[in-house]
Amino acid sequence: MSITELLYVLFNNKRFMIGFGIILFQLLLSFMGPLLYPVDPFSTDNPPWTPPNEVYPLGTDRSGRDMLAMIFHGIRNSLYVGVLTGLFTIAMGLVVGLISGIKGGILDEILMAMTNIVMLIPSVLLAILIITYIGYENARLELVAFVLSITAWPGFARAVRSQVLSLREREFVYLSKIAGYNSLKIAFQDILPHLATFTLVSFVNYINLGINGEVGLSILGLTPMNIMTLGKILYFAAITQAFILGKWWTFIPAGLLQVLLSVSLLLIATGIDEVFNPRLRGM
Amino acid sequence: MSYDLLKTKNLTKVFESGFLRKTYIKAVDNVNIFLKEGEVVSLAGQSGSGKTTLAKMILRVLEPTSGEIIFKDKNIWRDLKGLKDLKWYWRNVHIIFQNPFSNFNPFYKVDRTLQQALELIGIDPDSHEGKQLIREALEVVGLRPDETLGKYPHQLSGGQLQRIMIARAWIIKPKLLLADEPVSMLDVSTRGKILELFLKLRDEQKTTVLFITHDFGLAYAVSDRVMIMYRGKIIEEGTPDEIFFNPKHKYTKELIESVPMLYRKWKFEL
Repeated sequence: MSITELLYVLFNNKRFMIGFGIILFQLLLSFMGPLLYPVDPFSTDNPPWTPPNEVYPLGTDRSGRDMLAMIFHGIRNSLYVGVLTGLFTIAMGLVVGLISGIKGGILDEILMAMTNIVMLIPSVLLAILIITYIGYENARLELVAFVLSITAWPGFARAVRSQVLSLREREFVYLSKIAGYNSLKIAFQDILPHLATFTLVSFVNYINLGINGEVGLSILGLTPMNIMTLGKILYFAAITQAFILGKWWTFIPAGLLQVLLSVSLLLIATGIDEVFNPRLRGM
Repeated sequence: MSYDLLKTKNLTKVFESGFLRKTYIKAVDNVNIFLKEGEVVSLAGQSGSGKTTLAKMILRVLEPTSGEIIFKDKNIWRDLKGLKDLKWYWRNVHIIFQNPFSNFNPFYKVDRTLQQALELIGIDPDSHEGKQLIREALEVVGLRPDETLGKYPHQLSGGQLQRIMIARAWIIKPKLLLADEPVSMLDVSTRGKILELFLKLRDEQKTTVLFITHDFGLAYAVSDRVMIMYRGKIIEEGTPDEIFFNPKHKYTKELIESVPMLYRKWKFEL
């Protein structure tokens, strides 16, 4: 199948299309929003606790920050953290899994022992420790993504390793080997293409993990104070007791968008899986 | 003609599995074989008897537990160092696997398999010479280059794919070709033609062919010498006629009995 054919099949998949549509909508919001509605999300010059009206479409919070501007900036930064987490996790998992699977032997033992140890570390605890050590004033979104991916890669690395172990016993790998190809060339030319769809699906899932993880860390107050994310909006709502005071406009829209983001990424992941995994087709 | 191209000394491979309570499987057990230049030798035996394990060890992709493999006075697991030596070895010893569809990486066009062969013998696949050689090789094995090149593996039939594998061997011109059940996935009418190609390779290039099969009928038809393998051991060895008319081991008799023949109804023992 050529790339265009693949894309055609992919875009004919309902789940993928719905997920893709939602993501596209959110991307548009995050990039067009700040241009069409140029309000500083940290400006506190507005009246506090204003319900949605003509001047403030989504109202303001206790400090008078404009909710709509917060959401526009929040989606963008949340997606950024998510994609970064996905990239970090995939990169670490692929490197460890490929080396472990192809090289085998003592290197495999060491890497897998390491993977197992990391797997046992509770992710939130480690994140809290790292961020507290560095200090959340110095923490940037890149650090948040890194902290989240540090505990996420072992699962992916193990999956990659087991697939490599089965792939490297295939005849075409032997044939490449006896044509004088070294391990690196075999890894890139013969093995990686077989892992492509799995990697893509995992990447989407780890974006999801990054977005949700960022919300979790934000609610604990561990993410940078000067950068707006969806998690930060929920954090501000929590510390100003908006849940108790019933100021719904400060957390419902952000929460909904966050759920929508998660759902759309899951839909995309299952959509890709359905298209590329023939056993799931037509279900 | 008389010197041994390849021989093995007490070759053994034990697979171990399990962590605390280990189980050991002796796949190849103290095998001593020799192959002379220009002969077709069959290695026959049932599935699981260690034929493919033996072939992989000779191909130097699976390390033996103990024993030696000597090719042209070199112990291939001890004396070959670095990629240069290995390439030399694989130029001399090559393999054709059983399943034509898994011989090819589905992500690449079938050309890649032949281009790999050219890279191995040090010819640039993009050069005029390389392209010419590929076309020539395909014609030798009875394929039309224009219909074959640029196709993906799933667009060709098993017989065509297996011919491409033989074309690869023709380009490399190895001294020893391991054929691991090369025709067992093909239909009977294609088989004969593929087998002819092996004999042609032997006649034209003096290639030694180690023909691995579970079908004694095939072994009888193509080979100068037959070895019967059973549970990791070579239990019998000789010319096809010797073994066919005078089998000594009980398993050999069973193997010969099980060859289906025309004008003979099969006897089932229930």
